[in-house]
Amino acid sequence: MCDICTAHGGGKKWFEVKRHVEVKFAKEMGFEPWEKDHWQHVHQQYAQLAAQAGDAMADPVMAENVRKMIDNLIFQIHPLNKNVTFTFPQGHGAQVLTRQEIEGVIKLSGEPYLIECLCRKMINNASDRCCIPLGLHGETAEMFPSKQEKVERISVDEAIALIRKFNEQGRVHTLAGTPLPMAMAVCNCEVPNCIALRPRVDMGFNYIIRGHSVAKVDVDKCIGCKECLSRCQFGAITFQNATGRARIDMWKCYGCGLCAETCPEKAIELIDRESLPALKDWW
Amino acid sequence: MKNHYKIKWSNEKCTDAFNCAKCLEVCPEAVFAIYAPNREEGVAPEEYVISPAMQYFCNGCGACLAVCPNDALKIIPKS
Ligand code: SF4
Ligand code: SF4
Ligand code: SF4
Ligand code: SF4
Repeated sequence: MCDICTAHGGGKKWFEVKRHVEVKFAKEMGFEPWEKDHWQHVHQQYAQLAAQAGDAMADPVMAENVRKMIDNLIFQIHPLNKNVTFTFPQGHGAQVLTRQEIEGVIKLSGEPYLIECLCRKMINNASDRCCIPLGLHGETAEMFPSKQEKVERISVDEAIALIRKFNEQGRVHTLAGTPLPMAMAVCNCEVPNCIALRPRVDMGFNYIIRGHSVAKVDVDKCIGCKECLSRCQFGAITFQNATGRARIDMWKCYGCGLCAETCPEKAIELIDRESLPALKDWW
Repeated sequence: MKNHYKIKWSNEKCTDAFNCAKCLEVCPEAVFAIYAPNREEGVAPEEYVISPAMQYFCNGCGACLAVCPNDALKIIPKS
């Protein structure tokens, strides 16, 4: 179990719990003002925090302190009422999920929206309609820059077709908790122009945690075609000339499943992180 | 190791960041971020600024300097 499931899943995975995608429940819990504030200020928070965090990275002790501070913001649990605990509603934690898991969340929610990715807009000035907020997160979306951008309500089938297209393009699917464990933002990300993946992969800040799967190459099936190599955004796959096969560094793998989907020989298996004693606590 | 450069952005020289944003498009290290410092609900922001948010990763390639029409950026090596 990852920390989010342990704290919020009640035996299930956190994104399989129906109320975590329900608009009614999110409103009851009083998250509407939080959502609005989040949409308004997330750009500014990134731009300012990233600069400070970058400065801190130069000093190992300070870097460690910043990491701890961010972990506390995202994963700290405090009781809001006697039945439910939520992470401090400042954190926008997320997890890498496979395409199948993401499609499950979209079906569970039934209320997908489509918007332009604010990360790509603010970092690359690129218009990239790849962000699928769900429920209240989509309802409250006010995009950056608000003078141009439209928030579109789409059907579940349209959302799933988009997810499959993004998967073919090689984008990493992540699910963000807004705030955790409300499973309301499906992102289709790229490194480095994602405001959460970049700090995670290059700076070690746990805005995003690894997924429930780990990819492993079946050495008997791999024919060394190299198809999978360009799919990994995390640098986990290399080609080994000596063996003529792909090799996956499972410590680096985030479990996105993109390599497995593309392999023509079905030589990549996604295995449950929990089943690997060394990796079961490696999120 | 990273953290070689500091980037200075001039608010006076960069007058229309929202419509220019060329530095964002060319930087290979995704260093810059544009944002609106004063946002109000339902209102289009009037002012946008450029933050060298990820200057920690700047490799000093100079692409942003070359593309900036207003000479608004300075790359300062750290000693
Ligand atoms: S090795 Fe495969 S599953 Fe793991 S992060 Fe890379 S592409 Fe994703
Ligand atoms: S795509 Fe499959 S067969 Fe081709 S190199 Fe990768 S693991 Fe091997
Ligand atoms: S010098 Fe190169 S890496 Fe540094 S900010 Fe400018 S474009 Fe980006
Ligand atoms: S390229 Fe220069 S003028 Fe254009 S947005 Fe960037 S800093 Fe401003």
